[in-house]
Amino acid sequence: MRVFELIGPIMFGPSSSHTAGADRLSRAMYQILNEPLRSAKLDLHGSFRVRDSGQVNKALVAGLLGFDTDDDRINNSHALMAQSGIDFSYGDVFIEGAHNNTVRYHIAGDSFSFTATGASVGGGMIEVSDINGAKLSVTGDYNSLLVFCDNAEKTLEALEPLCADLPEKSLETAVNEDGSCQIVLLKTSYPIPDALEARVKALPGVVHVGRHARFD
Amino acid sequence: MPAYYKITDAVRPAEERGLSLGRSVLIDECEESRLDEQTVFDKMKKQLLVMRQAVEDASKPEVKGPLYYGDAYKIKQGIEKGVIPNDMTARAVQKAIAVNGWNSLSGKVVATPTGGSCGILPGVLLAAQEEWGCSDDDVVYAMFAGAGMGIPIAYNGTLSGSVGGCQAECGSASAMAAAALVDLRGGSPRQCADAFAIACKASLGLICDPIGTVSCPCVKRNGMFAAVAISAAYMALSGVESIIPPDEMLMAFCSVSLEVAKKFNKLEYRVGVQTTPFAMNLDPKATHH
Repeated sequence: MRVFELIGPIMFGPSSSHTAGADRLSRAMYQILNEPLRSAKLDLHGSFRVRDSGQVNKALVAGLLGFDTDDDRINNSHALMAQSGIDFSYGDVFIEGAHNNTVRYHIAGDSFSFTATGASVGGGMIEVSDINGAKLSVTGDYNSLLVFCDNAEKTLEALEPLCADLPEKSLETAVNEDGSCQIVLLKTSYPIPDALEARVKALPGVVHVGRHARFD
Repeated sequence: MPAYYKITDAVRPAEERGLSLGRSVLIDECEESRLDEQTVFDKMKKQLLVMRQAVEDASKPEVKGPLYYGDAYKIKQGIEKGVIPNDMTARAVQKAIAVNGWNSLSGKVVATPTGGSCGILPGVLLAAQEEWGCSDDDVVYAMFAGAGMGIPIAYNGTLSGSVGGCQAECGSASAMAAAALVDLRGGSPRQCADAFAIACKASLGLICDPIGTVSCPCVKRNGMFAAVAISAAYMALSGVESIIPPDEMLMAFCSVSLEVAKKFNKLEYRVGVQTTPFAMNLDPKATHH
């Protein structure tokens, strides 16, 4: 928890959950995909179930394009999305027990696609809680590296020596019910070097590497 | 860094260092974020400039919306014409309403701690800066003090109106602003904590009942809670202590926030302002948390 979650981010009104948080939630998907976005379907739950091109929608779209919360292009995000050639659509979803401001994303790039659920939980803070059915927690409190692989335990072992120099880190695994999605999640307060990402990508059994940057 | 789970966790390091609360929070933040002091300080200063710009932009006569009737300009006129006193409280109310009115119109603001409550701390600090002639740097340190006091609320409760009622937003903001104002005036870390705890008492149980785009009653509550923050800070600066220890007040504040919201903050039904005939006759799409 940092002071800039209490004062910050710089954002467009009217509601930090509906603009800053919505933008950051979509931006998390942009970062986890970590390659050009080709298609995005957003299933909206609870109070996010609006499609009036209002602030929530502008922010959700802007985040997918990679815009940060204070980026003036947020106000023009629908037009920019239309120009981008990305196949973009909305749907509805009801998720039992989910936070009011929840979205389930169906995201695809050229070489990787995933489904993820996350929420804008207040004050511009977010949590991604589920990727392809694997339960985890990706927030803005840390820099995160998400390593999608075919065997999370093995990849974790291989990853440990690679990031031995990285201080104050945690490594955990997340696996969905049928084992078809295996993720190793690295979290740290320190910046994750690009070189580390490249080395992780080259590990045997690694399918995809996504990132999520700590909010600063 | 020592995590600020309780108010004491922020106050004690400041006392041990012999520093103001704001300066001590800045040091802790640098440790936590692994960034240097200048970078962290400048980031907060940038946010101060956005706040000031919002006051300026939003105080113009043409700034109005469907459920925001240009209140900041009206109060500015009230002060200028001498209808109300030209004092710190009046100017804080005016600026708080300006910033939050701007927020309701989708203008650029700083979430403090949220959009719905973003006018309170800037209103209070910018009015105090005018009154006392403080430098921008002093105000930035005070912002760190206010933010530091807000962290334990996020840990133990919530800052989201839809989860913890308006208390979680405007209540938290006024308690943060009270502590920040004490810091700006040179009060001790303990006095900041007292101001925080005193201000907490004003918003216990306040429901979240917005209509429009976080417009009504949010904007006016920003003005009113700016005045709450100032009165709590005045008490603490004069040596008035919170009878309830700040850490105990924090926990009471967080627990009532979650309880009240469980009862009143449901998407399925309307509460407070939302139940009025005026609100019922509005386009339902305009009403959401």
